Amino acid sequence: MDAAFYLQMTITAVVLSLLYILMASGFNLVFGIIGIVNFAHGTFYMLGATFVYWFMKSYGWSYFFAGIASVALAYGIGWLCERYLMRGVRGDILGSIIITLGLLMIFQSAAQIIWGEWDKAVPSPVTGVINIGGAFLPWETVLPMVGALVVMMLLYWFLMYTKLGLSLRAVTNNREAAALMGININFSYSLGFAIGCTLAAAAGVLIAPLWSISSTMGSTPLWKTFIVVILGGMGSLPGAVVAGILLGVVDSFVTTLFSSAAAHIFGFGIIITILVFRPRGLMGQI
Amino acid sequence: MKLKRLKLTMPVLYIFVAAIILLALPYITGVNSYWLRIFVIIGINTVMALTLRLILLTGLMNLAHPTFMAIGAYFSIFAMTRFQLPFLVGLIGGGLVAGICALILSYPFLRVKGVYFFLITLTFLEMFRIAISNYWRDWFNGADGIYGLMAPTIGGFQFTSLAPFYYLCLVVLLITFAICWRIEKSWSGSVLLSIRDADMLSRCVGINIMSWKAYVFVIGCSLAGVAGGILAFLVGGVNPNNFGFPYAVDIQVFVIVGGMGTIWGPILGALLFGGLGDFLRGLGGYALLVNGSVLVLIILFLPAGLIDFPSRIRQLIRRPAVDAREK
Repeated sequence: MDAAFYLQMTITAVVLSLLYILMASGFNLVFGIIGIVNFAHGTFYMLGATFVYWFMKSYGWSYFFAGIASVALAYGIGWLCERYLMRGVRGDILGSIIITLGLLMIFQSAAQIIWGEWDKAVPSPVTGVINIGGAFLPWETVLPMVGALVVMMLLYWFLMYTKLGLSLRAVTNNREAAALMGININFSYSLGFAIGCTLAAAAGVLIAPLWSISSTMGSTPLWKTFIVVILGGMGSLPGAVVAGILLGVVDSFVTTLFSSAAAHIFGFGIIITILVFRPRGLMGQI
Repeated sequence: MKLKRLKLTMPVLYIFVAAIILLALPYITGVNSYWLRIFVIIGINTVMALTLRLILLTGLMNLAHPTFMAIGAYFSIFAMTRFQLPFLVGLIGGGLVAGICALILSYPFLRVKGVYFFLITLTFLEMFRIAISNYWRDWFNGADGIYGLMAPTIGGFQFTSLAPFYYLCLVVLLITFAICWRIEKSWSGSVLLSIRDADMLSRCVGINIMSWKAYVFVIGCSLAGVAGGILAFLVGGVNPNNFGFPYAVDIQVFVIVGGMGTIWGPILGALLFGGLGDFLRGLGGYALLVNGSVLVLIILFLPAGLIDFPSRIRQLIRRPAVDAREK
């Protein structure tokens, strides 16, 4: 129980928070624009990590190149899924849930058939440690932190300072009015879904060197995303950031001090408490 | 006159034939056969699908349905092995305990609706599974589950073959069907639908929506608990992973793919997909792939479920050039 122990917990908390924020903001973007619960979100996280493994192992690409290619591939797959599957059940919440559940099954079993069931690992592109006042911070955990911050800043810039981002925000706000203003709703839906999937895949790419890769790696982040999303409020990006930090800290500390099962139960306890007092989440509109 | 009498007797005839088939099924398939086992599992799945649809009438999609099943299953096991209670008492007690848990949980859960309810029941499902596979090991025996249960007895009658399980399941299924049918076809069914379609308006005309939602939630969950008790003794044990996310998805699939417009949809869905798990296991890693593709195709091409299939075919024959989805 010395300083290094607490520093380790803090580092884990930061990594987990950033992972949850990335996952939850992608989820919330999709929910805000299309209004569906994307169960395949965890699968895109898994696909992102698995594509990195595939590109690095089979084609010998470097981590950065493989990461960018993997994110681009996830964007394409997300776009195709929205264009050819989600569009058929637009406006039907239960139908779209079943479609995303079907996608979850298809992608997960496809990954298991193609890349095998065993745990895979990706070497980190950076090695070594930084010495901060006697405590050591490995570079390989700094990389996902920096990467996640860059991705979040890109997302913020895209949503706030570009015309496409403005159109996405308009669609989130009022679909009919946006359509009347000449915004192509179909294009916005595809774009929003693809960007949501890309954010999940980016989280997978950034986490790939740290954790082991397997076809079922997406399920735990999916649960955590749901907790973050309920906690922060559905469709609210600031809510995702606040709740992501909260859950990341709680998860890291409870897992280290007790167990990962206790972290799950603690997360659920927080949700119930929040729901009794604020049924729409911390930042949701009442 | 003659025609009228014929019309009156036709449904009676259907019911008569169905009753004979249902009653004689163990002797058609053999009292200990693999097929009878699948039919009992289909029966349990049908109870789950029907009660899920009952809750869905108010617009609440309860993903924690397997959890209440687990509560009933564990209670009926504890009643037999720890409290030395008769099997039937344990079974009904399991239903009551599941109902009481549902009543307590309905306060936080029913404060939210729609997607929020969906997600919170989902996290509850996962939390419960993780809790019983990691804590109170001397009661729940962790992730290994409890196995090696004795065959139950009812009033001195020993369950030596699968046939008594079948008839027990049939009785529970018929009771469930009768409850769901009565609630849906009486004025309370209209109340539930009004809550689903316009909850604020129903509140304004004096309907207490919280208590109505709690009413169907408790009834549905306690029947799920009874189904869990039967499942536990049919399999001879339970495992926390039996009541996880995959099973929750399966029940949703029965209801949505079967069609949730009528009470027959979940029955059809459970009949077609309920026993499918055993057959698909032969496909190994491809089972999930096939299952997922079938799901996506059915939802895309039959949005109102499989129960809608005959009318879609009729529509296609009548007007072949018009696609029904392009309104």
